[in-house]
Amino acid sequence: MDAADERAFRDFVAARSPALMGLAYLLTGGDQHAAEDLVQTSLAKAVTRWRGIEDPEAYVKRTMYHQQISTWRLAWRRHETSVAEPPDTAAADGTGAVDLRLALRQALARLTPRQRTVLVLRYFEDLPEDEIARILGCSVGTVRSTAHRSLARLRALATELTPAYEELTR
Amino acid sequence: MNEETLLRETLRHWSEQTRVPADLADRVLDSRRRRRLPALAVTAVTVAAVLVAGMFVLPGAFRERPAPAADATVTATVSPPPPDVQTDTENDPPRTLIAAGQVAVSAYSTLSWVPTGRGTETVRWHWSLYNPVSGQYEPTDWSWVDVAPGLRFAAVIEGDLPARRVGVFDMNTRQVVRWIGVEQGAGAAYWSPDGTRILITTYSGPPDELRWLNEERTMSRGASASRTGFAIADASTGQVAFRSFKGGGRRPGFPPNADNADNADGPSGRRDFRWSEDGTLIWEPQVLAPAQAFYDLEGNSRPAPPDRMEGSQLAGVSPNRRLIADRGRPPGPETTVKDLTTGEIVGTQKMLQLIAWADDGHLIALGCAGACENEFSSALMLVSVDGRKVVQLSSYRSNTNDPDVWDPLLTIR
Repeated sequence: MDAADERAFRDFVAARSPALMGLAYLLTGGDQHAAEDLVQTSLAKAVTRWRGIEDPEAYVKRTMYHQQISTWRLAWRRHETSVAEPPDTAAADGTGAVDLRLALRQALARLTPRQRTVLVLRYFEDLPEDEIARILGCSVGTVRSTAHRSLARLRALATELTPAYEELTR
Repeated sequence: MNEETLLRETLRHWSEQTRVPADLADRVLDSRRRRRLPALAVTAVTVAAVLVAGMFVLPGAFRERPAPAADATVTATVSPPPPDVQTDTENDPPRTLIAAGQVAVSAYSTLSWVPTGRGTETVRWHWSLYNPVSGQYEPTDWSWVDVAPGLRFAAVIEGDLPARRVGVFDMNTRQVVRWIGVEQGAGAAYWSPDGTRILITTYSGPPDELRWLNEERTMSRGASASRTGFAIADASTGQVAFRSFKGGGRRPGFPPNADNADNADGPSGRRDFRWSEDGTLIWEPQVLAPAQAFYDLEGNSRPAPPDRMEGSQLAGVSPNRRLIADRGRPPGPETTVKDLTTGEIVGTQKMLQLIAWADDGHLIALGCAGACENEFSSALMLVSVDGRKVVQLSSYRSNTNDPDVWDPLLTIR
């Protein structure tokens, strides 16, 4: 990597790190340190082949997804990467969009990493189902059923936290 | 609201809660350079092994001092505020995270005086602690809270002070992951700057107990000076080493309870030990100059660190150690920032106090409401060194002299 490459890499990180950190934060269930680790590791992979990468952001994001999948597959890693747990009692009062969002965020934190990732890819990254299937290495049908189950679980958890959730989102 | 829309909005809002480190590119490039230097390979592997070993001690492991979140440049001209400023100007006390640059309000407290039944009163603190998952401050039952750099763990004490144990509380899972036994009685607990150790000041009696001397409650006398020493606990292993400290917190030459002149920390018998800036020494406050007395971790007296700067403002020296916060000219409100080397004023701010550096170009300050008719009506502000850019971070507290008013705990995040 020469000086021009390094400058381009720095420019890329400066411009895109908010988006990358935002995605990593969601994938790790709101764990700041795990999110930083995820972005840093993925950038480190990108920098080794910087010249050959056409779309650095797509490359880094794909690396992050794969890294998360690897994380699930390593049992010990699950313990190390803490998935944030919500408090025992919800602070929401059951009214208003802010409280609904709060209940939903707490519910999202309670999903498994795989369930959460499917929802993040679908509703945050806006990826089509076939692209998600390719990333996760499964069939489109599996993506569909995982998303369906994840949403049902999310709804149940959010309703548990804020009883008005179901009615207000009907 | 449509559930899908709500989910999209929630994910977007949540993703914006993350802090974006300013040095990500440096971290990646530096680690790459280290890997490419064969001579350093052994050291690098050793460090990595230590870090990996550490990860299994506590979930997430304790970190080195977190990197500043904003770009480090010294300037007296207008510079953009740190990229990740979070405010809550609508709720008093705040409901959602307040943060700017490297600093966050990790918790806040109020206090009340409670009778002891002995004709004296003692302080009871009421803490609300930030929950990174909900993004909100949540009330707790802890009687003492100090948050470690990184906002991942808090040191907590339950019940009356002094207490027999100090907890290491995981702010994400809301669970105490380790209790550290302190049979000598813990009255205060502070994290080391690197977030690995906890300095506990031990007391044999309530450190905040006092007797009011008049009905107006303007004069008081500490009931007893009960400090017995200090303990340093390793937060990861729970190992704790106690050192008794002679003197019980009294400065030689002062008679006990002589109009509280023996106590520099407050009106009661409390006299906590605190960490030095680099975590190699501890210090206690003193009434007479110098204001701090330093000790090593065994309790032996030590000279003050050579690079220590005694400033008039809590903010002290900037992260790049080029600037220092100072008071301004009367009648105020005014504060200044000076070049540490030349003493030259590089910026003036219309603030009451400078509390912390958000980055090298901005400070967290206490700013007055309106034209500052009442100095006790103030809010947390983010102000640029040149004073031209001001962002209100919190609501205005109506009377900061009132014990019921919330008091922020600022922590490096």
